[in-house]
Amino acid sequence: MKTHKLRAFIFMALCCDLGLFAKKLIAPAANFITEFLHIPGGIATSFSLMFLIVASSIIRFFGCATLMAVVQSILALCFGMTGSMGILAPIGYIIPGIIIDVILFLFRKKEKDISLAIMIASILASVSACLTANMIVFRLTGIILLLYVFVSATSGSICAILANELVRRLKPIILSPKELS
Amino acid sequence: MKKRNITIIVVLLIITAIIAAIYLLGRNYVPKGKVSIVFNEKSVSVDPFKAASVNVNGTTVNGKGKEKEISTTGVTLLSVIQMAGVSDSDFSKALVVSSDEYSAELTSAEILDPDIAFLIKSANDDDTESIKLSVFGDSDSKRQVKNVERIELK
Repeated sequence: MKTHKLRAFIFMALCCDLGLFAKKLIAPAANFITEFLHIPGGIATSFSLMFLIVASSIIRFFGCATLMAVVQSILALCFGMTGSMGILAPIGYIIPGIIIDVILFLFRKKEKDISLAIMIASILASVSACLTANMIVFRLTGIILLLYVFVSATSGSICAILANELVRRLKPIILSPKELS
Repeated sequence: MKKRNITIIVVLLIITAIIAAIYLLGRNYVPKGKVSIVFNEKSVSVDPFKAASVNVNGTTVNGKGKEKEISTTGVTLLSVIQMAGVSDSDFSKALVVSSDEYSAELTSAEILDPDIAFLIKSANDDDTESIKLSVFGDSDSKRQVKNVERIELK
C-alpha cells in the first residue's frame, strides 16, 4: 500500500474515533445550553459530525463520510454508546454520513473553494441527525422541534468554521504534494 | 474566514434566538419539586412526595446491559396521578416528560401494577434534588426519566 494512502486511512480511522468520543468531551458544555433551552440535545452531535466532514473534505473520495459513519455505528454498538436510540443508532450515524458525501460531491464539481460546501454539509448533516433522533426517540412537535432543529443547524454552522480551519491546516500534512496540486 | 459563512451563522443565530425567546416565554414552568399533571387539557401541579410513601426495590438495566440495584423510598406513579383527582379508568396511557422534553410512555396496565412505575428523588450533579421516573422490568434504561416535570394522561 502506498504511504500516502495508508496515511489517509489512518487519518480516517482517527477521525472516526475522535467523532465518536468527542461527543462525550463536549457533552457537559452542550448540556448546559440545551438544559437552559429545555431541548434534548443538538449541539454535541454537530461537533461529532465535524470530524467526518474534516476527513471527507481532505480525503476526496465519494463515500468517505458514509464509510466512516458505518464504522462509527459499529463501534458505537460494540461499546454500547448508542444512547436512547439503542439498536437503531446506526441510522442516526449513517444518514448524516450520506448527506455529507452528497453535498461535498455536488459542490466539488462546481467550486474549487469548499468552505461553503463544508458549511452546508455541516448544517444539513446536523439537522438530519437531529431529525433522525427526533423520529426514533424524542417525537417532538411544534415550536420545540423547530428550536431543536435550529439549535442543531446553528451549532453545525459554528462547527463548520472550525472544520474549515482544520481542513486548511491538515490538508498539506495528510495529502501528498501530487494530490495537493 | 469567508464573509458569506459568517452571514449564515449570524442569520441562524438570530432565527434561533427568536424561536428560543418565543418558546421559553410561552413555556409553562412547573415549580421546583412539583409535577404538572395534564388531563383533558387541564393542568394541575402536585407535590408527588406528598403521596403515600412506598419502598422502591428493584433492578434496572442500562443500554450496555449493566444492572443497577435500586433500594430507596418513593411514590407509585398511580398515587401521584390520583392526587390530581384522575381515576385510573380515565386514561389508557401516560406520557412522563422531563424538563428537556425527553419522554417515556407507560400504559395504564403498567401504571396500575404496584411493582413497575415509581417516582423517586434523584440527586443532581449540583447537589440539588430532582424527580426521577423509575420503571422496572425493561431491558434498557429508555424509560428512566430524570427531571420529571409533566405527566400527560391520554
